[in-house]
Amino acid sequence: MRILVVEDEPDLRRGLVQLLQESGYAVDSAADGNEGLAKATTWPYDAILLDLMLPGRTGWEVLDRLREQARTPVLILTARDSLDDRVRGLDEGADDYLVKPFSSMELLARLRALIRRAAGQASSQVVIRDVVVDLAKRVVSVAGVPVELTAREFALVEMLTLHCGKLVTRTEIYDHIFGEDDDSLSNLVDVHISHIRKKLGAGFVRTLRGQGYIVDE
Amino acid sequence: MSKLPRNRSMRWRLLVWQAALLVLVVMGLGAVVLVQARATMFAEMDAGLLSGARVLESVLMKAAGPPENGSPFYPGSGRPGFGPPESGSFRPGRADRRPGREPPDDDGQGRPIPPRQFVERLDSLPAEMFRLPGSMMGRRGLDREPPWFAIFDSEGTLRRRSETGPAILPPRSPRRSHDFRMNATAREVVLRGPGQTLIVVGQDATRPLADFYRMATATALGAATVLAGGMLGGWWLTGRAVAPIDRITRTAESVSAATLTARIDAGELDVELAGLAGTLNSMLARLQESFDRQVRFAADASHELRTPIAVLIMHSELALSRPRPAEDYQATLQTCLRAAERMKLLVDDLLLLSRADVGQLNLNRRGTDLAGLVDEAAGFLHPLADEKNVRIRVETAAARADVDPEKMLQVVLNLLRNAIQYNRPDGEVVMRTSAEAGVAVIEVDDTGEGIETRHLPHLFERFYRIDPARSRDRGGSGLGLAICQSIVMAHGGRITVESVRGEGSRFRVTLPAEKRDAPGTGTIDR
Repeated sequence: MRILVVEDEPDLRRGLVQLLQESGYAVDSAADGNEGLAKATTWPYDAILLDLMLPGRTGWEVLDRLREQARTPVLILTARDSLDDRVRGLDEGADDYLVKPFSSMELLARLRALIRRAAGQASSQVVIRDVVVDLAKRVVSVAGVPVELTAREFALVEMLTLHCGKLVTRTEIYDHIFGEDDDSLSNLVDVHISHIRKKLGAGFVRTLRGQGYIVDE
Repeated sequence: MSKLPRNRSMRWRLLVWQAALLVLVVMGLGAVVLVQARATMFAEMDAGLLSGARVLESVLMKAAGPPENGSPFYPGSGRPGFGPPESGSFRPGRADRRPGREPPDDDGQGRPIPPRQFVERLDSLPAEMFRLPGSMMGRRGLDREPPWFAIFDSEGTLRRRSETGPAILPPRSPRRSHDFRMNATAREVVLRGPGQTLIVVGQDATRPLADFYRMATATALGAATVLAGGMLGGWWLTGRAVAPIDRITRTAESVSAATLTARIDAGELDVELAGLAGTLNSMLARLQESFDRQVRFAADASHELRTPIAVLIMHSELALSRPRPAEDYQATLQTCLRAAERMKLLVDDLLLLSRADVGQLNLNRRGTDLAGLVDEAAGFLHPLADEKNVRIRVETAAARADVDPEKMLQVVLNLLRNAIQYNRPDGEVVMRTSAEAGVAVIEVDDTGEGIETRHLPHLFERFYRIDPARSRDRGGSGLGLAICQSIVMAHGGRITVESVRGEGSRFRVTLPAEKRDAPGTGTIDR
């Protein structure tokens, strides 16, 4: 899952990026409104963390312009805690609103819920035959036995199961699993897929030649 | 609860005054009406009684007889042979004299008639002569009441009286020719007759009296009604007059911190109260404004604190989430320290401002050379200026003022830091001091991009930012200029700004010059 962090405070931005990366997300960051809007409209992010008080272009403007062309889930992350601001944020197209200071746990939970809802999954547990994917605890088990996955592998499983029954193209995988700073060696999707097949069973993922991958329901 | 004392002090007092006035007016009016009514009521009866008395008087005079009969009635006193036809002093026809004229106590020529002779003559008159005319009592049926009469001589002895009628006491001689009086329920006229006799004619007055009492009762009832109506009207009127005050009170009472936007509707009020309402409203507006300012200030302050706290929490949680190499912890601690220092800066600024707000800046004032302060500030910030490639030029002239050197240095540092940070690369900052008539001046000019005119009036407001996020990466709290202003104003000075777009800005601090005339007593050596 790929996240965009738009935050002008350098220390906070750095912390957010680290937190999200360590939680298995691919993360891009932007330090002002213009950069944020440019990235948000270029890449298909799974969620955007958006500060409101931004140099260049305020968070309101970014949200406004973004909503003209994309439905990417947006979580507003701001020090403005008045009722008016919260209502305005949600009304203008934000999907959630979190006031600084916040706890990392809550931020991650809200982010998961946001991504899950955007993919049309109500529960954080997805069951595919004998494979159970727990999106909240970030664990996968086969026939009740937990399986160890790397962060990258889990991200791939997470994406495929969230869209189970639907074709996920290679481009989509590249766009959502890898951040702008990831080196090209880790981009070998085929290698990750073969690792997943080894760990979860060969029948878990089907390859549609020349198109992409699909996890059947 | 709070209604009673207010009403007592105004509504009740108005009502009592009104009642007193009403009672006075009604009583006066009633008295006039009743006196007039009584006079009207008895006027006819009195006329009848008087005409009856006149008839008796003429009888008495006739009875006295003509003088040629040798009447003892009119004896000439020392002038025998005096005859009425010649003198014209007495004729039987004189009974038709106009009423009100003096009765003949004399013979018409100033000679009194001796009463004794007159009484003897009177007694000899036949009773049939003394009869009252039947139609003497006017129109209103009063003649149905049978009249009576009595004639007293000068000694007060009853000489003649009618067969009917109540006991009649000898009257006092009236001061004028006749007088009216009440005798129990009867009305009587007393007329001075000839020979010092007193003629009394009376008639029962029960009916006119009853009429009068009825009228008096009606008048009293009317007065009471008028009084009650007046009081009710007064109560209603004062109520109406007080109602807007009540409304103002209710609105004013309902105002709390949350409803400071409430205003008294002055539209329906009269001029007097509209003035009051206007005063209250403008007071409310001022309150609301300062309250809003406080709320905004608190919100801004907490907003400024949120970001460093978020940094603290974020990095602490990250560091604790899993075991990390030592340099990671070091980096985390450095980040946390930066956040804490930012909070300390902000809290210090807030504290200074709140002290300034309540006038507790504790200025340690002494004669200070402002030029020295400017040099000191320039020395402090040279590294920053070099870093930003900005040149600092100092053009000082002697300028002394009674200031707290530490606080004033803070002002100069703030202004200089702004001038460096918002300058263009390769720009210049010029700092000047000068002394004018009674004032010492510090000026800080920069060659930055200038400030838009619409921002200038707000520049010294707390947390006012031209660009919401611009100053954050430059380390400002958004309070620097507000603090400058607070400190300068605490010194009794002024801080102003001029700016030209594209050329730069000039901040100017004007302070009252040092008053001491002993030079060199205070120097700034630090």
